[in-house]
Amino acid sequence: MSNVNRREFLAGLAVMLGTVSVTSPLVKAVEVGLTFKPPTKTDVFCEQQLNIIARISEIIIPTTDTPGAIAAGVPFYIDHIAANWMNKNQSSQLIAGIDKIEMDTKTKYGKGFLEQSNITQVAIVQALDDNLKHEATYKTLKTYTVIGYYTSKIGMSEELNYDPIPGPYKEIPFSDVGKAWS
Amino acid sequence: MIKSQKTKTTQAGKTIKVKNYDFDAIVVGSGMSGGYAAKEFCEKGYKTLVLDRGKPIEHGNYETEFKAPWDMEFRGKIHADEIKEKYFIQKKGHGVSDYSKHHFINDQENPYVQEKPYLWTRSSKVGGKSLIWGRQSYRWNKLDFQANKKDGHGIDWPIRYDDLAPWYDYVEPFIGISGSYENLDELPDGKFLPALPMNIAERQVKTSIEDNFPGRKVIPARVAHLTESQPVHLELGRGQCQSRSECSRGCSWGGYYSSVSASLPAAKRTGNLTLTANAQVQEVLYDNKTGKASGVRYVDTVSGENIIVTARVIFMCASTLGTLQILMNSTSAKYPSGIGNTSGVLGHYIMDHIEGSGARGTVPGYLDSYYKGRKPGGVYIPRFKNLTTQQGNSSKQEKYLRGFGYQGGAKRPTRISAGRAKQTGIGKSFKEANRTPGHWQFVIWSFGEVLPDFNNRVYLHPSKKDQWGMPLLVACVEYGENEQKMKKDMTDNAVEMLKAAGLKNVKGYNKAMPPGRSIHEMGGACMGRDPKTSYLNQWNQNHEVPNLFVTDGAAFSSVSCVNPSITFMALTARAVDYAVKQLKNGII
Repeated sequence: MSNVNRREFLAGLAVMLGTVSVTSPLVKAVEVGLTFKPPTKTDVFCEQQLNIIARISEIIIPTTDTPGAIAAGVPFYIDHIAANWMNKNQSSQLIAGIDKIEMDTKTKYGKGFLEQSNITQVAIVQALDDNLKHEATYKTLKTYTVIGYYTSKIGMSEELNYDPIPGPYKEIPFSDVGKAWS
Repeated sequence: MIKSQKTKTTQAGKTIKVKNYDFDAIVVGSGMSGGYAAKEFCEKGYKTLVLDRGKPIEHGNYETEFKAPWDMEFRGKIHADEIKEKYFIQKKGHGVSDYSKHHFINDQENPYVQEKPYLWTRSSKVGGKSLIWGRQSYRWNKLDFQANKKDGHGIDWPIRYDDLAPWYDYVEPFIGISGSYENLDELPDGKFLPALPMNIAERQVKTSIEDNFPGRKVIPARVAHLTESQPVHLELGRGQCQSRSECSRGCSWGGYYSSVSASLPAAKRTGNLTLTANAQVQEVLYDNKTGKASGVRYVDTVSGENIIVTARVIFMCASTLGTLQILMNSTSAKYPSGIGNTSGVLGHYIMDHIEGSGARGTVPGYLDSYYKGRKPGGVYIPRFKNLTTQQGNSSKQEKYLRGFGYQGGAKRPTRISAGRAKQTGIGKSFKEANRTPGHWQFVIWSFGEVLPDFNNRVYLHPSKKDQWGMPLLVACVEYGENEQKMKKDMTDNAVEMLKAAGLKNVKGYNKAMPPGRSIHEMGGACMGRDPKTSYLNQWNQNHEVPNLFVTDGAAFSSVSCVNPSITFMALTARAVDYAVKQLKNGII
């Protein structure tokens, strides 16, 4: 991506993100169609860590003409994964990694990640993404953001086309559906 | 139905309940073979008891069938701890997910011994592996039944293709197999429902491969899916395949064949079926006075009771290795190494198909073309190596014996369909890129014929037993030089064909897989002409104990390179027909 394109991209993204307040509480798990027991308290992440995860996941998959990562329950999903899927070592590394993102932001910009402007937050995430292979924490967050979003009800049935009972297989022009099956 | 019931105590002090039912037939196992045996016996008017070690399952009541990913705690993946605890063998095989895991056996509770690495996939439910099978359905060819005689490996089959052809004709319409008529010697046509359509990328690959390699064919996969329900299916409540591609969870439509959706309901409606789940058959009982099998002893795995049931004829359909385990455990003064095993061949010649070799690549173009539905089968490339045609023309003799075929197909996966985030990118453009299906990806994988080898065997562990007292099975099976050479050729030919077909980014693979992984295990109670070298005669009947039949994969003397299930069923139907004639004539 050229510099000009990237600037345009970041500016456009910041406008979109403007609709989501940085300090807005997370969407409740029950409202996003999670059927596993939503965390009543976060087993793994403190509120600040969960909010950082929420911001990063929403920057990776923002609200556009379809809902984004927060609406799809991605932060709760990642919390659930960290508490119940990862082993102790993996979740500790993830927690430490998120704290490091917060520390690095403070060192570089004077304030914590959540206090940064949308543009700065996006720039931070973009830099991490550009270096995806070597950013273990971010890579983990991105992996579970992508899985969590595209296996959520919103990701599967609003963002993509959900077709649980397709009927007999047939060929169609792509233009008939315009987007991929989930 | 119980004629009498008494309790006796063995010398070892074990209490055994003896139930004298008025059963004509006992069928051990309810999967591909057992379900079909039950249907045949019941439809011919014989009171039939089916015993299955699995838990009960009800067609139309499959617990995960309508779960969406977001209904699952880990979105369809099984937790590593659960794999470690319960599915450390099963997960290495095919088809185990969080949606289907309950259809597979708990490895912790059901141990076996691997003297050499062997992957044993087992079902935990009534219906056996028919619930979780791959559904690819091909007839064997004439050469397959002559192969042992021709190259001297294994025992010559006592039957030929022509003996079995009418029985394929008989079982195929009931099963419901979609396929195209191709008129090939190497892959005989059957009685087909309309073929699955090939998509545009598959059609392009077909044209290119057939143009570049005269004599090779790329045809629609033949699968046991109802592309058009016939009355024989509708009357059992089986409807058209809905292209959901979630088969291993169970299918309430009965869109694919399983004994739970088809043969067991067909047996049940006759009123002649008694089906007992949670029944681990441990031995077939031999009656020295009559020279026949008198019944079986099983353990009710819920109550722990030992129960003996009797019948006039016994069909062993407990899956290849399961059947062998029971037969080897059926010892008596006359048969110390297993009922009907004077020859000593029981447990020998264990075979399956080598797999783990093939190639993949990108079919350029056709980006305006897409599909609706998840097709239950793609393409099949029938065997083209070491063939002799009926006209006597031989293809080049390779450095190995026998041959292989390929399954495969084309799809347009999305960038995120693997569930990973390998690609960089964030924000709106990342989201939009994930909205578009990717290029057409074409993949083929191969199944190759394994040579019968006397040294490849299973046997009972001398001391280790499971929680119900059944001696553990020990697997001592390995592939030889012929298999290694063939496996490499499977990869090389796949790469060559896909490159010639104009695919991009062609990558071959040749992954080592332990024996058993193809879940096509066969042999161990082989059919043959000579009682000295084989366990069964040309009717799947034991050479010595005339009312004992084995009609699952254990009976097979060689394995072809095509998927075996419809051949299990054809042989089973044929054997029941024969057994019934013997019963009627008072011979058994």
